[in-house]
Amino acid sequence: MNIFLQTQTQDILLQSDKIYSVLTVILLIFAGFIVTMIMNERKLHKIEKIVQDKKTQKK
Amino acid sequence: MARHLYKIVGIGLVLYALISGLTTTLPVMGPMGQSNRNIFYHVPMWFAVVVLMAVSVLNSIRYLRMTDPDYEHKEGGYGLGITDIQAFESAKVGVLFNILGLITGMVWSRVTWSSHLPASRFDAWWIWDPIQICALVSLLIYLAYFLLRSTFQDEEQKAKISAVYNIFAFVSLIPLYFIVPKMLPGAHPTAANSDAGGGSFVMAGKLGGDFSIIFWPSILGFILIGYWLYEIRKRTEIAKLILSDEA
Repeated sequence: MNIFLQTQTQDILLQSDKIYSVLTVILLIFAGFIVTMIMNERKLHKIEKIVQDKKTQKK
Repeated sequence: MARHLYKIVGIGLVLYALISGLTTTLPVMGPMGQSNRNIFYHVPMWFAVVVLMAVSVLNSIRYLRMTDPDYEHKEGGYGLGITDIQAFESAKVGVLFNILGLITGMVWSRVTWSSHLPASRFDAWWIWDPIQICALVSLLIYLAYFLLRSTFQDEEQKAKISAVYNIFAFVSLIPLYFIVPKMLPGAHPTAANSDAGGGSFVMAGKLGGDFSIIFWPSILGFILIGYWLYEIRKRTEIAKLILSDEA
């Protein structure tokens, strides 16, 4: 079963170009995640500025 | 720029692990075939879980210290609330990585140990290996932490009791991750009946140089990405706390 498994996975992934399709999908998911994080970061930065302004106004 | 450095490093290291981990030619390790590449993604997630849960428990300990009348804190009126948020949000991201670790483990288990079974069968994905069970138990312990928090109306009582529970939850990770799975026979390379003889597979020098050059950066990358996620969650909740207090 192990020999079969090695041959099978190698055929599916490394010995064909399928690995690049898999990699592209994974990289796209990762890129989507990073873009979401950066957008959140920017939104948060604006909110934090409002909070900071309110704090200084109080003082 | 300096405060964004760890995020850039994290993104770079995970990208490196994804690209190199899937495209570099690697020697076949034991019975795993080419599925051994999952070591670059599955294992780092558990490292991230431990780091995030450690951040969580440190904040819980800090919270309990701050409630001590002798302890002087200098974070204005929000000090206690912020510390509680930090403990809670860190545990949340830790649980996310725990779930991702379980999923990547299930897929790996299916390919390595149960590929002869039809995908519709439960045991094709879950083989009741000691470390699988321990990981699931750790997830349930932290889900109970969230459940516990949701039962309290009073913020102070909620924060105090959940901080104490969080310490017990973290301590339970030590036997669950580092002791019990290594004492029992199982299919994982860290099991008592494995080549590593119940020790750490990685520390026993079983991981070749080809793997190490991707494995260790991947661990750091996943930890940094996890910490970034925690930072965003934490800052969002802190802003909400301050704004709701002023409204």
